[in-house]
Amino acid sequence: MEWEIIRVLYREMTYRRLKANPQLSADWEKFSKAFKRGGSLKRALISQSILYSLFGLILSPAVYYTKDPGGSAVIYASYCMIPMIMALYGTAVTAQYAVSLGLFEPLLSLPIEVGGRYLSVLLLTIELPTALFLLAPSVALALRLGALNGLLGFAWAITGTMLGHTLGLFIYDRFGRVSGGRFSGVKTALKALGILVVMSLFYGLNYFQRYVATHYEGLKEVFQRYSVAYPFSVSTVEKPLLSIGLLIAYGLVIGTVYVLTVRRLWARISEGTATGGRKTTGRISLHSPALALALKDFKVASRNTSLLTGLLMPIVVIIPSLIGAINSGSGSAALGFVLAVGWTSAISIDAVLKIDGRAFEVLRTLPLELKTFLRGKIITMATIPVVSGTLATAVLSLKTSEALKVLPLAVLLPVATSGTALAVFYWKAEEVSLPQTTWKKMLATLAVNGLIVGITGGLWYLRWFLSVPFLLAVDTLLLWYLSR
Amino acid sequence: MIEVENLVKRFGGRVTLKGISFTVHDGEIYGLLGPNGSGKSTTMRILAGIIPPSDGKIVVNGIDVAERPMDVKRITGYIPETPLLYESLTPMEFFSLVGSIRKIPKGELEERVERLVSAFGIEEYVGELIGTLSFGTRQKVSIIAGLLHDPEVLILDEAINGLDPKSARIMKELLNGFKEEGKSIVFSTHVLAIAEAVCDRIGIIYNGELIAEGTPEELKSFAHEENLEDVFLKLTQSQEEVSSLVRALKEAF
Repeated sequence: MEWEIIRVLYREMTYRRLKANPQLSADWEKFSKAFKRGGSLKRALISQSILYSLFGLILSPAVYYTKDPGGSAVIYASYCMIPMIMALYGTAVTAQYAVSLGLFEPLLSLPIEVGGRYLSVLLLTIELPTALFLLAPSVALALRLGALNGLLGFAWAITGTMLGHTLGLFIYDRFGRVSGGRFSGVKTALKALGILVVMSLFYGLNYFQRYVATHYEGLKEVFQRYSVAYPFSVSTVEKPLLSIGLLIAYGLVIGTVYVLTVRRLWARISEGTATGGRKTTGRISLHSPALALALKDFKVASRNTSLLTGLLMPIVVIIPSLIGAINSGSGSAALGFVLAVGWTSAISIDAVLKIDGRAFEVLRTLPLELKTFLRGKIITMATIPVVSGTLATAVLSLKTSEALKVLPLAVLLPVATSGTALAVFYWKAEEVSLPQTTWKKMLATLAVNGLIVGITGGLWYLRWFLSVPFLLAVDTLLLWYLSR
Repeated sequence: MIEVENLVKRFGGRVTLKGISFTVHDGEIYGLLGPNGSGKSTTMRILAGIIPPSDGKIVVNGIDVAERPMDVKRITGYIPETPLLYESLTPMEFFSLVGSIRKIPKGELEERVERLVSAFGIEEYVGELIGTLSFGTRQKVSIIAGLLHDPEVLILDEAINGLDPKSARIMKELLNGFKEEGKSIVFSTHVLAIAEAVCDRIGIIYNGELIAEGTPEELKSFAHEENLEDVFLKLTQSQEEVSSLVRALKEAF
């Protein structure tokens, strides 16, 4: 029965997402096919598992080929962060989206005590297999450390995912509601920044881990001292007793927070999605349609911590290359940072397409052309990477004047990569719609953006100024395509 | 003027609209009545250019909806049954968004917002998040947003249902005012008393077909019934069904 409800919720979420796409909803045959493909939870899980196993195969050799078993454990520990961050991000953003679609409204009138578990299990069903299959090849290779060690590795992978999922639910529960009142935008931004700082701490840990991996012998003592902190704790698979003890301790803490959060969730979902008092003085302010759409996106996101975290995600991802650039102080390191900003700015497409939620229908009643809609979305997608990239490059230029050369790229590259993502997702689209976030589209976006980033980097090394006209041409081409 | 000719809508193998035709003249309020699932909302959504028809032709003030849906949306005000709004915006921010997309001059927009907000008595809510407002207040926000551009054609899909009596009365007065200005209005409702009081002509839609059309008086005379409710039940073949269901319910409880 429980599984049946989850299956129905998944189908409903897919149905509502597909219905928001007029090209599909207008053509019953196309819609039926897409719904049959996307609405099957089993099918989605199988295809995702295969895909993530392939990614996992790419990750796994390092675990096996590290000479020192301690090194293998440390590398495996660093991989365990990936499903944790994926689960955290996925839970925080998708929970908001699923609730905003009104997915749980039919259940609200039923005598359900802990309905929040449906949201949690729905999200876990999507996230947990992904995480396990991503790490499965590494777990298999970690068996070289011993069967028990391999099993512990598997248990830590599940623990990491549950940690991310529980944190994601906690974020949604505490900050997921739309909040009004004075200075609500500032408050939400501070909350989102707080979450990002916490997430960035994991990067710090990751860097420390890498450092430890290369200076393992010398720092073994320090490493052992901090083995209580995740993901360091994962590397204790070498010492089964300690590892089991830590697993139990983590299980108890995560379990308690999880149960308490899930119990609160239903009340949160039942109460509605908005809270807060008087927001504005109520003045009309008009803009061009595209800018008005982008401002609407920022207003919606600025009142919703989960969505804002999704929009700010590219900044978290580029932190390591920023640290690298600051440490090295070279022009090429600044270039590496700007290329990373460009490469990752397409990540936010998922959050950008989820901002409208059920209210997307409103836009279809208005005389809004696809080109105007896409111009608005490109502003939403590119603004944060452009502003953060430009500011960071300007700061880097204080250390090395070489960084000034990459300043134009900090503006042009995120526009190109965001534009590419939109061009791929809206390929052949004719009307304002919400396309599906499929893996085919994600991979195509990554491939094209990889090419753009690669050529930009290559041209910069050849003659640095050549990368600017190249990106100008790409931006012009994309803007022309999106405005067709 | 709205001219609907042989409108067909298929969803897969299911035919929701089976070739309906009707005309709404300038300065006329046309009521579309029908039981649940008869195809009213589908007709309204096609008229508003939100979904395309499978077959047939719709011309709104001389513009073919299939050929120039954007132009139709520019002159049309569509108010849906369920107010679909951005819950994390305030009504004023939402009106600004609609005004920006519709490119309404600022002075005109401010004047209309002030007039409509005051008419519907929601002045104290314009600075609050829509998600915190009651269903009725949201419906008022949705109605105001649909009227901001002073549309030539109005499509109201059960839009009065969620309003309190005072606001429903205001809405009726507004509709009469629009009618006098020569606007074409299509209006669907389940509340037959409102339809009788407001509409100049009524079309009864049943199983995707327009089974009767005329003024309320013509329909009563045609069906040999005293009131519109009986006309409706008779024409939709529901009279016997309703009587037997009522008997069954009485026995059950």
